[in-house]
Amino acid sequence: MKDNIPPIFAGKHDWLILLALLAVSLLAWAGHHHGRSDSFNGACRVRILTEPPQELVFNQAQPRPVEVKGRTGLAVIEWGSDKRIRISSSACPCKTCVNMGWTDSSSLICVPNGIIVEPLVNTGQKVDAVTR
Amino acid sequence: MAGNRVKVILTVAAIAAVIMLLKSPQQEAPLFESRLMMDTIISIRAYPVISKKQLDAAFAEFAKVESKASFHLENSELSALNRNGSLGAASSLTPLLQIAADYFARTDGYFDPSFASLQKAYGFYSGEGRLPGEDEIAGLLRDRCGLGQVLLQNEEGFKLASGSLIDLGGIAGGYAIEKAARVLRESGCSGFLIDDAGDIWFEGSKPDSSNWRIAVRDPRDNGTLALVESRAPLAISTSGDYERFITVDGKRYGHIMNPHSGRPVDYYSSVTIIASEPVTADALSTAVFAMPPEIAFKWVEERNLAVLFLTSTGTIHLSRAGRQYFRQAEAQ
Repeated sequence: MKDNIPPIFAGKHDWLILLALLAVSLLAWAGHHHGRSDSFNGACRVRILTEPPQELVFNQAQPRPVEVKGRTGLAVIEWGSDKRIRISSSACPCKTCVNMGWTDSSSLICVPNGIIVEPLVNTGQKVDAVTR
Repeated sequence: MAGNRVKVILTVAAIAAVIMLLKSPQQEAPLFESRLMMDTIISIRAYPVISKKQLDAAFAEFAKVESKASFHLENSELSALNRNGSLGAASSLTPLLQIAADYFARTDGYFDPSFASLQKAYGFYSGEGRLPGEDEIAGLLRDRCGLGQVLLQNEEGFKLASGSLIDLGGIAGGYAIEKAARVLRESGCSGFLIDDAGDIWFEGSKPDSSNWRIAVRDPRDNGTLALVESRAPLAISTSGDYERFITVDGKRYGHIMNPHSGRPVDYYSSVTIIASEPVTADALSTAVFAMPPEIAFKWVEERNLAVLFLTSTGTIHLSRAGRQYFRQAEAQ
């Protein structure tokens, strides 16, 4: 009876092939999830709602402030020593964006100047949107 | 025997493919676009990517609402009502005014678009803040505020009391979100999120079937006060005192008024509401923000509303229904 059950691994190297397949899959999965770590490194996307719209992506905190030109003039984006981001100045009348201060999660928005600074966590956004 | 080997290898390969598929949806980027409209930034995130024409049609709904309900555009129908004191029954603004009147009644007057007269007196529209005197406030409350008294509807249309002003900013965004959502839904978009300056609506699913994840901004440090995660469609709206305010003698005053005192309220830093419709979340977040805590906490429980309060003293209060939705953000 036992002899009638076909062996799962007929060839002596088959199990190696199967193990390799599984290992590659698991490594890819683990690598992907490791890449979704929530640690913030100062990466952000800057959307500038000019015509045409522009988009800048900074993959990490920048050592020096960056100037971007919005609809009403220049805005300065600055990274702190803790890698948080702020809009330190903007050519807008109300300065709401400047008063929003430092962030590592919420978007900073300057409506008059048409500038949105979105903190990014590694390659993906941590949240889909922020209610404020 | 060779057949069994093939079967086993194919089975394991299929398992491997499933594992790999767990990764792949994350790589599908949504369409994401922001535009400056209605004096703010509107963003739409759509899965899968829809056509430019469909996206334009969704944004066009915001433009349509703005063209009729803007307080600032001189040629809007709302401006005509504020200027002339009347509006014909055929006006496309009628549904929005009826919704406003409905929420005025449902919130015991705490949602009141006719506070525009008071807000004007405080200088919220000119940006030159001032504190009106007691007599001036009393006169405005008596003669020009209270939507149920100053806006009358009959078969000819609407009549607005002389000198009264209406600002539909408290519901126009939510109303426009509903219109835009309908366009996206009818265009076959299977999952999307609309963000009108922090008033959010999402529905459908993301490619990886993960929850929609919304952060509630902490106005004290710009961090995350709480997170909302859901796969079911939800509207989330926050009212706060930190984006629209005047400063007089170094003191900041928010734009939401107590209907009884006619004074800007300072009970909370923010109030976030979850509802099943964008207009509801939009209107009720404003209304509840205007209520003193002793009224608001009871009022939201009686209506089983999911609400997160951040009081001006920094205390967080969650309604019973809110405990199902809001959860604490993880430490960074």
